[in-house]
Amino acid sequence: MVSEQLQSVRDEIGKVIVGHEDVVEGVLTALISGGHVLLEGVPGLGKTTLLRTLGEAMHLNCSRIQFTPDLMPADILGSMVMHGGAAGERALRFEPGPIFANLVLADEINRATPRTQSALLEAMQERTVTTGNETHGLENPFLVMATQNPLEMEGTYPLPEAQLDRFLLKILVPYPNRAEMQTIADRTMATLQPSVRQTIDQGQVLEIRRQANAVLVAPHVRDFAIDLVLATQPESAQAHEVARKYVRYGASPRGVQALLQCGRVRALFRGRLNVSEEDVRSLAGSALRHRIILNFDAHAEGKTEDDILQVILESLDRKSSG
Amino acid sequence: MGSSNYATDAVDRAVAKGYKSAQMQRALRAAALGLSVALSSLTALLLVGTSWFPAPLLWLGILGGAAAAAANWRMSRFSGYEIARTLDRAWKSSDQVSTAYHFGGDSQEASEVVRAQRELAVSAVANHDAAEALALKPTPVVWVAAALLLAVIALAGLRYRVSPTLALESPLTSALLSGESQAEQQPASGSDSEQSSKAADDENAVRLGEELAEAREPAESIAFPFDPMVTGSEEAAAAEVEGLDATANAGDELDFQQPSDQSGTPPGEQDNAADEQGSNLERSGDSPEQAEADKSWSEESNSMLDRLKDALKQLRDNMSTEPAQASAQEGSASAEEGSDSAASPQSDEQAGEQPAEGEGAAAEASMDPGEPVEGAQQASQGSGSSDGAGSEGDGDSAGAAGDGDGSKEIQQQQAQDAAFEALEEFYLQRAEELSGDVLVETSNGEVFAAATPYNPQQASRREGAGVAVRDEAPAAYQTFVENYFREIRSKQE
Repeated sequence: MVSEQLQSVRDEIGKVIVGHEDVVEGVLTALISGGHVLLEGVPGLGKTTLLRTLGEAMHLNCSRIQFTPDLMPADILGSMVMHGGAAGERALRFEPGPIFANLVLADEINRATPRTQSALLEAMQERTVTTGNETHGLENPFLVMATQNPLEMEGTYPLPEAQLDRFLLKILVPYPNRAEMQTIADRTMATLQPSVRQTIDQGQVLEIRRQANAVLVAPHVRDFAIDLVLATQPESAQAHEVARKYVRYGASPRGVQALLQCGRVRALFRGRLNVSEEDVRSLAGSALRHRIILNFDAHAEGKTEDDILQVILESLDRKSSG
Repeated sequence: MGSSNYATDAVDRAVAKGYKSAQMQRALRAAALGLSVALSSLTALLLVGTSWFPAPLLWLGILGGAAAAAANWRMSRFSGYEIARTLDRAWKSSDQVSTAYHFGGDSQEASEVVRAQRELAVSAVANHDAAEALALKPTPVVWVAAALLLAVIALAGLRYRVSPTLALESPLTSALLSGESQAEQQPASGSDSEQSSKAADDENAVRLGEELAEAREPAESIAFPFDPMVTGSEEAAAAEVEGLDATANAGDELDFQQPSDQSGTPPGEQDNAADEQGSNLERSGDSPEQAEADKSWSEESNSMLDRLKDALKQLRDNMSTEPAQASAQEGSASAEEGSDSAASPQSDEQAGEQPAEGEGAAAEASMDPGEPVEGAQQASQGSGSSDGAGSEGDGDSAGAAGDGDGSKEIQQQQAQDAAFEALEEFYLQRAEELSGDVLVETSNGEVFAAATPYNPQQASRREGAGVAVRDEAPAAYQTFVENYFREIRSKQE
């Protein structure tokens, strides 16, 4: 059963990562959905550890790229390198970069220049890398887990909205609570480090993805997702008044796709073969918060994207229940 | 949408069961709505009666109720898919029932995922009952219908208690009030035997009086009044209103102690004399206290009649004073002539000329006995211009009093409007004739410091002088420009 397989992966990750169930589920959802995830949180919350543990549990290749202002696109994608053969001949051969992996951690992606960011995002979207006259396909499954540090914004290049839209989910990584901190401290002081067991392999991940694509979506659930996205667009006729007041640009149709696709995986997590309105509702924050651009009034009044989405969801709930 | 073969699995059975319950709920709601509308009209009929709520409106209300029920039934249609969604919400089954119902799953063409999902939905449905989820619940409209039904029953009971025939002509309040008065009269007459005997005595006395009156004046069969005092007062009041010349006779008639010497008296007085006899016969059967009370009541009635006369006299004085003043102001010379002739009032015509004299004269003339109004009219016809002025004030005294104030205000307003129009025309014409540029100087304003909470920098703003071209001033502001120039010229002078 798919849900059992996914639960076993979560259990294995839970051996290393304390708490952050939503973050783990979100990353797994993005992986199975075929998208990419943007994590936003302060350093030291286990983002790299999460990626490494996920690779071990699924037996997937992992790579990590630390983005810096002097990072060039070739440092990510790879470059043509001169190789010499045994007979003395020399030839240019493509040396793949760290992006050629199943799981890529793009750490502090907003510190790289827009040119490098664009190269990464293009690879994320096309799932191919072109150097010279050759086009190289990326491995499948392919997940880029980019991180952003919300504190240090000096000398950074914030991702444009068009490139943010290419991330399937944007997950906020909160601080662990007291109980989780105690567990982290205990595990740090323990002599025996936990070992992660491989539960599924690359083929099974693709099989789960295929099953997720077959999960049923009823018309009213689809309409709920569409209503939710339309309500965030201030120029739409169905826009919510709070969106008209605080939102400059609403969610794009990619928002609907993300909601339904991730809803399918979430339904699989819970042993269902249908997407429910609750799935869409619970994924609204992570799937839409980076697709909504707030205006000056919202920033001046301290409103966040989650606040806007919460108000819209409440109004939709009243509408559907009434 | 939905599978056509019901009862194949638990999902369809649950939806079908829920559909039946929802249909019952729908029918109850529609019936309650229609009943509410119909009962509203019936309640209105029972409350206000057919005098205010004609009977056809009741049928209109019944038809309206039927139409409302039909419309509600038609508008509240729902599908099996919506029932499945309702079941999902009730059972918190994460939309499994609605999804399974929508995608079917019992057909051969259904995919493996659809069939698997339906199996999951069946397991979710297993422990629930659709009839419980969609149980028959009384909606507010049902409560309204029940309340209206109770109100109709209560109102019908009240009506039946007042009138067993359920007569619906009069409003319920008046029917209740009349029923109470009847109920009060009945026990009072039945309990007090003295009053019943007294009433019998009164009837005997009245009958005797009638016989006596018929014996004296068989030709004039005038209805015998029950209370001659009241009748005498009414006659006196009527005489006052007609010509204010019958007060003396009325006062005589009201005197019950006066001997009834009816020889040579007018027929009216003969009637009154007969009435007096009847009343004396009545009083003969009453106690002395009753007679004393009647006497005091008659005196009080006389004093009230005197007050009424005084009030009428004051009213006529007020109505005739203002026209007299107006006539006196209009023609003072002719008024003097009128005063000369009115100084010796010898006849009714001369008395009618008195309004030309001035204040109070017209009122006195009008209150004189012997048709004063006619006398005033004769005076106006027979005299010259001054008499005509006086007759205007006297004949239309009431109309002149109300007309003078309103026409004056209207005339003043019209004159003011005409003046404003002339002024506006003058200003606009003059403004068109003017040409050239006009420099309007404004002094430098104060310097304000502005700071924003987002930026600590400060900025200053200054109002500078400007130039306005004369022709650019809108027509509506031309008068202000005129005033401005006038002010400047006056300063220069």
